[in-house]
Amino acid sequence: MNTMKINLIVNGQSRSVEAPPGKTLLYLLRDDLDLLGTKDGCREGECGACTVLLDGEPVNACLVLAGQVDGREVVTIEGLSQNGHLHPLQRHFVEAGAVQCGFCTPGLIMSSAALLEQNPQPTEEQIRHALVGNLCRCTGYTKVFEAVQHAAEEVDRD
Amino acid sequence: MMHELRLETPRSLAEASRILKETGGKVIAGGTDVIPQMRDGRFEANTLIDLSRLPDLDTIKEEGDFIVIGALANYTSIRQSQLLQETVPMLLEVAGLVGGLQTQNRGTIGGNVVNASPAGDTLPPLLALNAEVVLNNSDGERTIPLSDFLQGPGQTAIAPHELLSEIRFQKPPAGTKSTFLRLGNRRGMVISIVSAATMLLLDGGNKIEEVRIALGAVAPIPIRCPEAEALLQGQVLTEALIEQAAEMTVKAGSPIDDVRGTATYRQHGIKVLVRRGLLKLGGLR
Ligand SMILES: Cc1cc2nc3c(=O)[nH]c(=O)nc-3n(C[C@@H](O)[C@@H](O)[C@H](O)COP(=O)(O)OP(=O)(O)OC[C@H]3O[C@@H](n4cnc5c(N)ncnc54)[C@H](O)[C@@H]3O)c2cc1C
Ligand code: FES
Ligand code: FES
Repeated sequence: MNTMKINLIVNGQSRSVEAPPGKTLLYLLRDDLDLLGTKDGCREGECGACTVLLDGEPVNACLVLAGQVDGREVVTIEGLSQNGHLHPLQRHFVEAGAVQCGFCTPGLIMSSAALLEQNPQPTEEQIRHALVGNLCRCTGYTKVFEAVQHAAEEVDRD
Repeated sequence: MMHELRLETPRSLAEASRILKETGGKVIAGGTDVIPQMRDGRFEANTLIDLSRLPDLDTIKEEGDFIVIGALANYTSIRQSQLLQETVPMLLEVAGLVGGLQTQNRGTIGGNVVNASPAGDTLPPLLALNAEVVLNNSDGERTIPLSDFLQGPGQTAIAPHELLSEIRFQKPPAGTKSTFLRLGNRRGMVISIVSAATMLLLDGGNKIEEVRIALGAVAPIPIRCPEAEALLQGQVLTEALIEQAAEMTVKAGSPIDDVRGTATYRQHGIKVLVRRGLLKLGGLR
């Protein structure tokens, strides 16, 4: 089996992994780095459950190869909380009841985090647009949009 | 199979061409088509050549009368390009329809062109623009019209050791309007069932100075509608004329039945989209 050494920054920490370059980032995170928050849904870019930030941009980890992230920076859902405190998005998802089975939640939150980073005061239309690539089979999205709106209001006040 | 793979990461076009020639490997840009194909075992390769770190191949710029889009420009950068917004807004419309933002951040225009799907959404607009593609190998480059490049579903004129470096087209005259419309099962995240790119330039008296119509997903490759364009050219734009032209475009396609729609639905779709596009650009609706 061909492997290569992949050096990357994950959630602020330098990591070095020996892995086959054709493995997807999704499995690099889940199998080699024990980060199970990034979910394995469709494996073809349709559902967004595997959304992570690559150099700050939301991407589907199932459609990025491990070899392509050498020297780059990845943030997963595990990287959002700080000093044991949930990120406002995480808290508001819970408070608004935007989580049912929870499978889509990490992906939705990562896409939302990228949105708030670029646009701290999004309109509902902008929130919907940012989340087009994230499917949820349970909630019907209304509570999700509410949660993002509430988190934006809180982040903006700080 | 994936575990036997090597990944090469060239840092220049020349290096990429050399590796391609030496290894006969499979090129990967954004990977949004290649990675699912690889998983399905749809190609055999021992080497993947990752273009994502080639400098300067992702720029969108003006060169004299031409607009040049680097093969590695992704949908997000197309959506954010001021130059394209001002000159060919239909390309921004296309870019905004491809998957979610995750896919738009990865998928490239060059990958869409080389993938040559009958439903590839950048293709009708680029055909309407009479775009050319620039192909490089380790010995040099050649430029050919996109209409010659596309040869069939998934088939192109690219030679085994060539890379696509740029897509170029003449900047449309000031005042040219353009739009891209498609029918799919839902609004986002779908493969087009029928799509239409229309471009229109009117003079002060509503006379058509220039018109281009291209269709996607209704033939083995996206097509232009020369008869309908000829009918419209030089005429004063009216709803009746649009109706006649839209009717004519139906004959340009040779749609098939598949899981996404029937041939009859597609024929109807062609007419609807062409009519809607021309009415919108002509300010008649
Ligand atoms: C969820 C989802 C939704 C999508 N929605 C749409 C849609 O609405 N409309 C649409 O048209 N497409 C859609 N697509 C497909 C679209 O993302 C691709 O066609 C994309 O543009 C391909 O670009 P890429 O950089 O990802 O190509 P890759 O997957 O990297 O490559 C595609 C092909 O082109 C070759 N290649 C790539 N770049 C070059 C180059 N510079 N020189 C030579 N060969 C090259 C590769 O070898 C491969 O054969 C969707 C994909 C996903 C995952
Ligand atoms: S698992 Fe990656 S998009 Fe569905
Ligand atoms: S909460 Fe179940 S899929 Fe979204």
